[in-house]
Amino acid sequence: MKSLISKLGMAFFAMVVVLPVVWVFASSLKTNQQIIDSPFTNPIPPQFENFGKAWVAQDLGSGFILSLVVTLLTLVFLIPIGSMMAYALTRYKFKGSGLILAVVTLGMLFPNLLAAVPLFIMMAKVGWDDTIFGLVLAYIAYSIPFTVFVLSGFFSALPEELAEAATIDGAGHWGLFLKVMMPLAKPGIWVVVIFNSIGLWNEYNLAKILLLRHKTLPVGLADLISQQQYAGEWGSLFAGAVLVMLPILTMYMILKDKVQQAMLAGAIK
Amino acid sequence: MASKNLKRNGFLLACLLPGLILYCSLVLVPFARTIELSGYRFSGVSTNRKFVGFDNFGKLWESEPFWWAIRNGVTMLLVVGPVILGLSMLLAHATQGTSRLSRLMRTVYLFPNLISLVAAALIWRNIYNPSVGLLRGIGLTGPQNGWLGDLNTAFPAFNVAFAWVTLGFYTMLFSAGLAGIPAEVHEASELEGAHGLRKYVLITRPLLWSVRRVASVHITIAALGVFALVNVMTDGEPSGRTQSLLNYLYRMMTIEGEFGKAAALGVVMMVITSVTSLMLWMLFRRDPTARRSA
Amino acid sequence: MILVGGIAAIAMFAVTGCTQPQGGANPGGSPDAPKSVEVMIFKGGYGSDFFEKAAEEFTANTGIKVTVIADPRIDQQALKQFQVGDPPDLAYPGWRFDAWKAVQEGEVMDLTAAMKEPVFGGGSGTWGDSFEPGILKLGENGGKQMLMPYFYSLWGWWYDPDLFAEKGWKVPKTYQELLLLCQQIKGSGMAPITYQGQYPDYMTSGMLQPWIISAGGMDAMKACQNLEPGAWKSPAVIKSASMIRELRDMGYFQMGATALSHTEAQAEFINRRAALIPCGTWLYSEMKDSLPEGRRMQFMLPPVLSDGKGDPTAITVKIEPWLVAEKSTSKKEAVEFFKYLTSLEKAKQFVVEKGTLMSIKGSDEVDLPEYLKGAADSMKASKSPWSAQWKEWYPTFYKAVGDALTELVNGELSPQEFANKCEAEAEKLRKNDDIAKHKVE
Repeated sequence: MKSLISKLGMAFFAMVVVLPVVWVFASSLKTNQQIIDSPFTNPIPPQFENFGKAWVAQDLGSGFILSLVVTLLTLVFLIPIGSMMAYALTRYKFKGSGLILAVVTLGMLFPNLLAAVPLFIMMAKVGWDDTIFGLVLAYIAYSIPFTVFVLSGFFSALPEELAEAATIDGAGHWGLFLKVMMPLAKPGIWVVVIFNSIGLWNEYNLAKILLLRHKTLPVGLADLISQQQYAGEWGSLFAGAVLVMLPILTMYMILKDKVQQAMLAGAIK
Repeated sequence: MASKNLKRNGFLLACLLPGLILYCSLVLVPFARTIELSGYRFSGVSTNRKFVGFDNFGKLWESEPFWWAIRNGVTMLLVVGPVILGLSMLLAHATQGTSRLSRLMRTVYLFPNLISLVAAALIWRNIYNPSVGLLRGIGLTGPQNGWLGDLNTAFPAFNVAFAWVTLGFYTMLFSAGLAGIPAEVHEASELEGAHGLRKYVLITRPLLWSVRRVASVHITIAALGVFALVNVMTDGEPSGRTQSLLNYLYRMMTIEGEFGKAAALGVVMMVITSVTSLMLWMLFRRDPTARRSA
Repeated sequence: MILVGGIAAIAMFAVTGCTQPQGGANPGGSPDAPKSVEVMIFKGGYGSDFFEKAAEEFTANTGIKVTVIADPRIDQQALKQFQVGDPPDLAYPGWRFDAWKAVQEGEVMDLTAAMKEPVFGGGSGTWGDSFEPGILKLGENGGKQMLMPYFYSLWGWWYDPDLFAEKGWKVPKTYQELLLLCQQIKGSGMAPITYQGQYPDYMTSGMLQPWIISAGGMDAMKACQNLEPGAWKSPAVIKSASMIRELRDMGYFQMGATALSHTEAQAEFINRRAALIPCGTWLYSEMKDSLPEGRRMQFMLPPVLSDGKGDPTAITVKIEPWLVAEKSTSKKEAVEFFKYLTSLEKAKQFVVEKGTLMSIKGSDEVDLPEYLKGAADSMKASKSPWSAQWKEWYPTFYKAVGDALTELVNGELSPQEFANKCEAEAEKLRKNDDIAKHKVE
């Protein structure tokens, strides 16, 4: 009896979680009329041109590419920068290292929008507002707290003997870091890469404030929802939602355990 | 010896400088400047600014949307957050085990947390949409003005969406915590006759204290920092009923042209977030398992 | 030690790097260099193609280079550039931008002198005389011409003439006729009235204000605009609110409309799920891409009280201002380009291409599109065209009134409570010295 209740509960929960997502996928293949008629019409025949419309006419294609570029560029710089910081702060003892680590990780506590006013004034003053360069810089900076926090956990857990052995073998600071420590911290790198790629792909706040003429995919979609004339274009709107959801869900299905581990690491470490 | 020290310091500088420059100039300084700006009248359409002391805070105090945002934030903190944590604890228990359904659940429950909040907002806007929505499709037409249009149902309806987005994450968190409890503990407690709720209160709950601490702080930050979901789903409407602190801040920044006031709200939020997180940390500071063994 | 020093140095750099004074934003460009004009355009229902093409023609004509930057959120970009002291030369920043605050801050060029200059191309008459005087006046601040009108819109209600003919419904002239019609429409299973509930602006402009005027005359509305003590809780405001409340209580508003965005509500209207909608003359352009084949729409004035004090021909005019930035380094050229845009030839072209009315005299002497004719005729016949300038002057107060209106429509406030709440907000505004006060005469 008890297990039946819990099974029913789970099945209900699964429906609540999955149904809306399935509904978006289905709606992205419907005609506008089908969507307006009822939420339960079947997407037959499937309207794949909704995706073409979303990509070209609604200009979400350029948003997709921009989001991809910005995410990758940020990761390429963030990972080395973050690992170096975490490594130096945890494996070396110097005055203030603890304080710096604390101040850096404190950045996770406050939403980035709280710094948005001065941030965009600064960016505008140096002419980096509305540029990919400026956005990537901001993304790196605002991803540092989490990245350093997680990686410092991994680095500090590595055994001291390894470092000593390598030093005796004549490895310098860089050699020890790059050849010995980084490979050992690989699970941690996975965590930060996955967590940050999800966060960056979906990022909304900073992109909305710092960019104007260029729109990342989430901002482009949000603008379509709130102000554009989508009244007659439901199909392509849902197709846009699929465009933003699909890459992440695909990655999740392929790397399920790693993704879950990454999501947990942010909280538990 | 000196050259060795030099090498070490050079290495450390090279490691720390790029990150620290970015972090200081783009994170720390803007946060500090937010505090500074909160003392100025600064309209945002001009470079003109005038020092006004705490005037911006006084203006906030008098504005109605601010109080809606505060009320909503506090409600999410004290009511919605605990409900979500309680539900996810239940779900975490239900999805333990190796049955196919449990395994499937442990895969799909993270979906809402992984997708863009903008997509989630779109989904829920359309679930509640009074003319083509999913709820209407199954006969739940709701109040006269629609679920998101009615002054009394808008905020609960919004919170259902918020729970949908966050529930899976906390379930996973508690699942991981439960999985971390050694099998012997379960066996021993069953032997001693502890089952169900009794077992949960006496054994499981205390053992999960660190996970619960993490989850509480996490949901505090999530609840106070809610923005994209509100911004796209309701923009604070109707009449401020779904307003969030950050969405109001954004509104003052971009539409009302009240930069000083926006900064003042930013300062208020920094204080609220710090104090609440600190209080939670203190509350969960003592390890109940440690106390018992002492 | 080196490390700590290094970090301190970075911190210093970062702090000074962004607090240094921002003088002389545009030092580049010697006085002899060929000037160029940067124009920011709000990309709304009318797009930006017209201005981009005009810029090319203007450059070919005069040799002055014009760069057009257009976006639906151009207000944000404009805001940022005003903040750092490098504003666009000419701007049409859209409804979200607080242009009057920019005037108050001294960021907007005084165009009073330019009004006396000849029109573009040196035709007869002054530039100022080429505008409809009543509409040009909407940009005045203390007798100085600060903001400029371009196209203008008219607020009213819309119906589908074919649907009305088919069902035998009569266009209501009075509020009493409206009540009867709504009963008829509701009986037929359709929602009588829908509205863009997420933006209370539409109900303020389409119902609250016209009915304040109808109940208390133009003076009642003027007193409200001028924030006279007690004006917002006058009998006229209460009467207007109770009319809205009555429609709500009778169930004549479409279910769920409070949560609809403008396009969602308008889609309800064009898809014949609601018979009437308040909106401005941009409605057709905004919805034309999703208009069902052959669907028509027609303008009507909001139905008024048959025994009201107000002029039943009163019509609400709305402009979206343009401005030349005071800190612009090519003011003369910016003015010249705007003169080109407002020349009779270009104005007529805009009317034809975009289907809106223009503030330039004689620009309506073209074939107006069908949906616009009714609005244009109402304007011509009106003895009291007026504009809700308080909306532009006091955007935060305007939003507060809109919020109160939403509460009224939700049944949370009675008409009397609604009026009290508006008056309390007005009192707050009267006491707030940060916001410059204006007057309509």
